[in-house]
Order: sequence, then C-alpha cells, then structure tokens
Amino acid sequence: MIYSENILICMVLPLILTVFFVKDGTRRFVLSFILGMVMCLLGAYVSGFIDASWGYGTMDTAIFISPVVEEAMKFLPLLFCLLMFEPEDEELFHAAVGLGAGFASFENVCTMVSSGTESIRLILVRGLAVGVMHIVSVSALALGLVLARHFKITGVSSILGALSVSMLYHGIYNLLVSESGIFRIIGFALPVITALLIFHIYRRLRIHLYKA
Amino acid sequence: MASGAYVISILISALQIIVLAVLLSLSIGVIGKSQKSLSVVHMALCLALWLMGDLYWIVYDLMRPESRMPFAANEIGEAAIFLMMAAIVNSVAVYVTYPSAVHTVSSVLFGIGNVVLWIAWSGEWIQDILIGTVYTWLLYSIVRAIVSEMAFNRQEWILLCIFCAALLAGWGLIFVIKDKSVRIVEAGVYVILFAGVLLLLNRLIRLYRQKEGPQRLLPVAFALIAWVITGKYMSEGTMYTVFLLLETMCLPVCFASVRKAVMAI
Repeated sequence: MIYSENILICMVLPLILTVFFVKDGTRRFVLSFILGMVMCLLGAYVSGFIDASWGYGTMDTAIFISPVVEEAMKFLPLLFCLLMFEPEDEELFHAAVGLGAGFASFENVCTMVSSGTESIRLILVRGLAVGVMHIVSVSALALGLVLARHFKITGVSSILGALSVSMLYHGIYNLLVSESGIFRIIGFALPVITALLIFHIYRRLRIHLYKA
Repeated sequence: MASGAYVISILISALQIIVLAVLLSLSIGVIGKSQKSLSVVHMALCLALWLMGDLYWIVYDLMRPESRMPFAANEIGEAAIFLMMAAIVNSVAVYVTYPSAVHTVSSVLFGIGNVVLWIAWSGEWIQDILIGTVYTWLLYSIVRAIVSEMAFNRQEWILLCIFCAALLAGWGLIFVIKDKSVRIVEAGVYVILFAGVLLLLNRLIRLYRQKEGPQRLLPVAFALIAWVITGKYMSEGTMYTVFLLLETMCLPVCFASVRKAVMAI
C-alpha cells in the first residue's frame, strides 16, 4: 500500500509556489498540470470504489474500468474550463496537454513507488508510453470539445464521441500492457505510433484547409 | 486448437478493421475538402470508434479466448457509434414532415423489444439498457428521415413492419420453445432477416439508379446497416460471422452516401 495523498502533496507544493512566480500561459500550464495530478488521485478513488462495490478484482478494474473512469476524470476539468473561461482553441489544447502530462506523471510516480525503480529500461519505456498515451487521449477530448464549440447544433454527440474514442484508446492500451510478451510490446509502442499518425493527419488536414 | 469458424470470424474482423482504416483515411481527406461539414466529422468519429471497438474485441479475443468480456470501454464505444450514426442522419436529413404516431411508436417498440431480448440473452441489464437507448434513438432518427424524405412507399413500410414484428415474435419464441421445433423458428427468423436485407438493398439500388439526392439515399443506407447490426446482435456462431461480413460490406455504402451528401453542399 502507498500513501498517494502524501505523494501528491509532496509533488504539488513546489508547483503551487511556482504559480506565484510565473504568469499567463505558463501559469495556466502549471495549474492544469496540478489539476491533472489531482484528477489522477480522484480517478484512483473512483476505480477503487467500483472495485470494492462490484467485486471486479484489482487487475480487472485496472484493465477494464480504469480507462473509463480516468478519461471521464480528465474530461470534467476540460469541460469546466471550456464552459467557465471560454478559452481559445490553442489555449484549450495547452490546458489538455498540461492535464494529460500531470495525470501521467502522478500515475508514473505512484507506479514506481509501489513496484520499485530497479529497471531503468522498463521505467523509460513505461514513462514514455504512459505519457504519450495520456496526452494523446486528452488531446482527442480537447478536439471533441473544440468541434462541439464550432458546430453547436449537435455538440453533445461530438463531445461524447471524442470521450468514447479516448476511453477506447486507453482501454486498448491497458488491455495490451496487462500481459507480458508481444502484446505488451505492441501496447508500449501504440501511443508513439498513434502520436505520429495524429501528427501526420493534423499536417494533412492543415494543408487541405490552407488550400481551401 | 482453434476451430475453423473461430479463425474465419477473426479473419473477417481483421478484414473489417482494414476496411474501416481505409474509410477513416478517406473521411479525413473529405474533412479537408469539405467546408466544415459536421456530417463527415461525425462519420470520421464513428469510423474511429468502430475501428477501435473492433481492435479492442480482437485483442481481447486473442488474449483471453473463450472467456466472457466484462463491462469495458468497447461497450461505451458501441453506444457512441449509434449516437454518431444518428447524428449523421439528423445532420443530413431535411425534416419537412414529422413521422406519424404509428411510425414513432413502431420504431421505439422495435428498439425496446430488441433490448428486452438482449437482456434475456445476456443478463447484462446496465450495458444493454445503455446501448439499447441509443440504438432506439438511431432507429427513430432513421425512420424520421425516411418518412420525411418519402424514401419508402406504402408497400415497403407494411413489409418492414411485418418483418420487424415477426422477428421479435420469432426471437421471443426461441426463448420459450425447448423442443426440436426451435430449429424451424430459428430458420424462419434468418429468412426474415435476409428478406429485410434484400428489401432495403433493393430500395437503395433503385434510389441510386433514379439518381436521387443524398438526403434520400443516406437514411436508407443507414437503415440497411442498422438492420444488419440488429441481425448480428441476435446471432451467434456462423450466422454472426455472416452478419459481420454483411456489415463490413455495408460500411463503404454508408461512407459513400455521407460523402455524396457532404460534396453536394
């Protein structure tokens, strides 16, 4: 058992102090990073509650339930940010990236504390894969919110569609890395491949829109 | 040792993943060309969800064969696919008239009937009610668009109503009958399902030949895939694989109808 609340306090305090020394975009990024870590802890509480009340088992909860809960937890602050502050598209994406990075960092620290830090290779691979995966999935959420804002008529469908895409993506990753061997290798490679694909698609779309 | 049917179902799932990947890539191209069209954005989201749902299923099947999947992200994905399909139909259709009470009640009753049968088969209340609610919304959206566009004639509506009622009755009977006559009822149900596919396909081809606009083509194309999905959900073994293959063949048809609607703007 680890005391994740204590880890959170230890990590968040220096960042809270940082907020007073920086401003504008940097301050917003630090705040969204902190929020990402808090959401990770809250997500763990919700998953733990579901595990205890439905009797899924720790492993099955981590594989099947956590992706749904974690994506919903990342989605809520983004939605709040969109509705309360009406940020520009780029600002929303920056907030999403900060949120994803904070979430991934806290998850990584908790995993390291609970399972040890002996293997630098595993830590490097996991750190990169989890980091990219959370950032990619939260970017999909931000994209859904941006689309919903631009096309107001069926906004709810776009938001729920993007939320489901990120839940499924996260679910596939968790399922793949849950078993050793070739599945785990594919799982760890998946976020990086997806990030490259999204980058390619984004470039292609920009070229199309520029020509239009 | 994996059975032949299992290998074939995995192969067809893989084929569907390839088809979905190609269509997703094409739809991203259409997003770039279209003038901020909502329908194609929803289509891309729908295809992405479908693709990832299939991937999730195939990975699970390979990692834990022969075991029942618990509630997972792919079930939320299925509900979202139906929601996206309904959003596409609603964004393309131009509603001139509203469906009569008979159309509305029939589509909702067919949806609820299916959900009841899913629950009776799987016992998964929460998942089935969640997916079933969105599935019923999709059926209602399709019926509303077809009525508004007058894409079906009176005979076709009557035939479809009879098919739907017979399907629900047939599937219901399969749960009740315990002797050998269950095979006859099962065969009858599949005959009706394939007759429904032929009816919708015939209407779609006729509309296409008459060079009808996308507002008329699209709801019929989505009705066809919704019918095939209904058949797939109620089948297992070989028949499930057959409907999976039919579903794969319907996907490009749906994409083509959305593309036509987007390009017509």
